[in-house]
Amino acid sequence: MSDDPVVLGDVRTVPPASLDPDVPLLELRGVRAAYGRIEVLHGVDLAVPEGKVFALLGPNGAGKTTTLGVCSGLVAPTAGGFYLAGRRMNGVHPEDLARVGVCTIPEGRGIFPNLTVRENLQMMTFSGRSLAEVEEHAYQRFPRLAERRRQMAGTMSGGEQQMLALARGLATDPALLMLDELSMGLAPLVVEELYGIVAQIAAEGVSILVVEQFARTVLGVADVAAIMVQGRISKVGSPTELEAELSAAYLGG
Amino acid sequence: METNHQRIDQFKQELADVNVKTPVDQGERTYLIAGMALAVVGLVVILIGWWGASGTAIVAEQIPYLISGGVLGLGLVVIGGALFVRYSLTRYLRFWVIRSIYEERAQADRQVEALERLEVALRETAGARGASAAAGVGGAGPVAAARQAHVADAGTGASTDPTAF
Repeated sequence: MSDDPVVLGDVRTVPPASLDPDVPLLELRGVRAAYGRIEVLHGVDLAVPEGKVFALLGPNGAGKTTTLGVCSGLVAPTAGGFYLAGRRMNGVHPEDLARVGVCTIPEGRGIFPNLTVRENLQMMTFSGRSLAEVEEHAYQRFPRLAERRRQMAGTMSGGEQQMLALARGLATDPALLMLDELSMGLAPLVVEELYGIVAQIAAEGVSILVVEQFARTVLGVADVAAIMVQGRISKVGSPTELEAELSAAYLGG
Repeated sequence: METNHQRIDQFKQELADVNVKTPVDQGERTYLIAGMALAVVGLVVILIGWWGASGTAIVAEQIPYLISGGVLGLGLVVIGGALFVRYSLTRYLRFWVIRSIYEERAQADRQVEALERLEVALRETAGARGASAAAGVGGAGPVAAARQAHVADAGTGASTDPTAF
């Protein structure tokens, strides 16, 4: 049987997710999405292979965050298909995706600024892990958070806040991690450090989709990269291939 | 953390249990209902036209009823009917195509299963034949040896028999 679902009156067969490692863990096929009557994505095709880092780059307003919204179930596509491990997931609830291991770290980090680092981590115990376990993993990966465990999250530096956001995301033991503008508002050195951590996470086999506007640093850790312009993927290739074309894409060349 | 191959396999298995809403074409449903509603409104307009026209014997007074009741009502019925037929046909054809695909896949599965059974049966037969052939070669051994001995005896006899000349 092929992988497409067959809807047949009350007879409905949904193929299970494919166990074939060649099937991309995340795939968008001709996805269109709109906010009201304004269409933002005009047929996006992308595939994140299992255990790889996929960098989605593009200028402001290209539709990158909307693409992430589709991938996390927050924005329903108006056309096209959103597939996870070969299973069509259009119309899925975001909480169901989060539960199975799709983790999104939104632009602006999404941490609780008026809670301490420890309390922020405590929010992730909903995933069934104990606070001690969550803390152990977080501090092991980000020793700086251990030093600041009693500090209000909002008073930390941008890089530390981003670390906290990453630590919280990783507490859910994700299979697919999506990062939106990790480098936003951070110094280049901090960005480099954070991408070093992203590379470590990728080495553990987590598939990662990174959305970035400016950071070329991401190309250093990515296996595949794509440039998105005006709601379409204009180029997909290896990071080295794309680096040369990046400026032209931003400047509309 | 557990090893990630395990994690990814677990992720894929859990995905199969995630509830995904069956896609519904909302536009199609709307057009179907609109088609039916237009046809009903058209019929009502025709009835009003008939009621108005039948209320007077003067032709000049009947004409407006004919135009607004008859022509408009008929137009609405035709448009509504066309919409209804168009979207009903789409529905039916979609069902028909999906049914055909489903049947085709089921048929292909049945054929593959039958071929697999045939293959297994052929292998078993070939295996059994191979075994009996091997046993056959072993059984024919003494016969062949006896035949060879007989030929050899005849030859020897011919050469040693002095009365042969």
